[in-house]
Amino acid sequence: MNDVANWRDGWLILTTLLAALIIDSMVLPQFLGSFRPDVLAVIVIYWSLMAPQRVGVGVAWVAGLLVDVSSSGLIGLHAMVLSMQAYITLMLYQQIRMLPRFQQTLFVLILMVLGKLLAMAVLGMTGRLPTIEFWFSLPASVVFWPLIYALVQRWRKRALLPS
Amino acid sequence: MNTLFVKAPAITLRFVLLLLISTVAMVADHRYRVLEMPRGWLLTVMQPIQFVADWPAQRWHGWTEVVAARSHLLQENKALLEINQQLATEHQQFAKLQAENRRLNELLQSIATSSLPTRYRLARIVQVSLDPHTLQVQINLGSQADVFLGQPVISSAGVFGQVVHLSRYSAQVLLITDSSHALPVIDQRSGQRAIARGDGPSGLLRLPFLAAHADIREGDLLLSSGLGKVFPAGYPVATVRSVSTPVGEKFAEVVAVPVADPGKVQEVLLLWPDRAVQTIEEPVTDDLVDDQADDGDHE
Repeated sequence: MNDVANWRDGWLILTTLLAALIIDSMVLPQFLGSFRPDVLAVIVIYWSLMAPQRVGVGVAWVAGLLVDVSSSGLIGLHAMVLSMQAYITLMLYQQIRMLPRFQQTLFVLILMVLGKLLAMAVLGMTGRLPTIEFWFSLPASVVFWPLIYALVQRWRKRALLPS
Repeated sequence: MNTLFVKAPAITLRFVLLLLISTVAMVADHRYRVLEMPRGWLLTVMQPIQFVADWPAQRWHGWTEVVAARSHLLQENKALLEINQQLATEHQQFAKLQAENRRLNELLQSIATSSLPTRYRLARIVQVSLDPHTLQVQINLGSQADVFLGQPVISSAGVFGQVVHLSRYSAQVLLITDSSHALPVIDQRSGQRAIARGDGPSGLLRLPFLAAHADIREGDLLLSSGLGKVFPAGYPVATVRSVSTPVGEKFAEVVAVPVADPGKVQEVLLLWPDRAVQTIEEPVTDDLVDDQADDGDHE
């Protein structure tokens, strides 16, 4: 039973990460583009919180590296940001899991802001300080958190209790 | 056999290690541009994901073509035929002019014979979201189609950009309007030489270091001069929008609008200039001259 759940979880992790990579690679119309949520970061935080034995800094780093390459950005930037977010989540996951949903969302917001600040510092050093639009993705990412939480939680329950 | 608690020290160690690797990678990539090979491999790995991400945009385009009214298509067809007629007529004189030009150049013993690229190839712009801090597009041809780093890319209107990252089945093209891009140009009317620097998100070009008395006027067409060795000479780059000399400044402030509008372009042309064919062993990536004073400029 436990093995089956683990196996299903593994597939779910892989599928959600792939889906996040695809969604993040999609092109949106100009005016929506900067408001898009950072889906991959939310997914990585979710799995570091819920399956810390499986998804950690390593997975986050590889996922970030793939984003860097596919978006033609600086190699190592997203990798660094995502592994940082995963690391903080891993360090605190027992406390965060116990928190009410609202405070969890707050924690995600803090992680997102930290990630943005780190990325901004690095981009500033390369001489490409981002514009204000760089921050526009925050609200959508935070709104996205409870959504993804509910959705994946439901899939996992279904995986645990096969009908 | 799941451990209930994750071992904190091991994770911290791993995290610090990854942090270190990331930093080294960023420096190596930004300062020294030595990660082009692994970047290409990883981009090839990402191909299926990008293909799926590009699919809706592609479908949408195909769908609008399907539902386009018949009359609209006929009209478009007629317009295209007209353009084709016009081009064919103009082309009749081309061979004669080329021969004449060669003769005159030989008479002048000029070495600056502009040779036409031997090979063109149409590439489609892939709709994937790229780093919003740089102006780039991705195309659907890569090293498998002989695309090389630093390859000039033009649109039907004029100079578009150059290939900066390369994978097996795709390439990423830096637009000439990106703030890290500059190319040497020549004023078609006066022969004045200048450097056209990208101005970033504004989508314009600036011509720095032009003396206040330089012979450059509003409306002038700027052509690629071929001096940077990336773009072949003679392709239209931009038209001058404004020329002004602020009081007390030595240099004129010249702003130009690129002729190729990246927002409207769906297909671009890759050029294989003559020299790349003749001397293949010459590392073409050397054309990406890294200006030491200015971090990682192209051209």
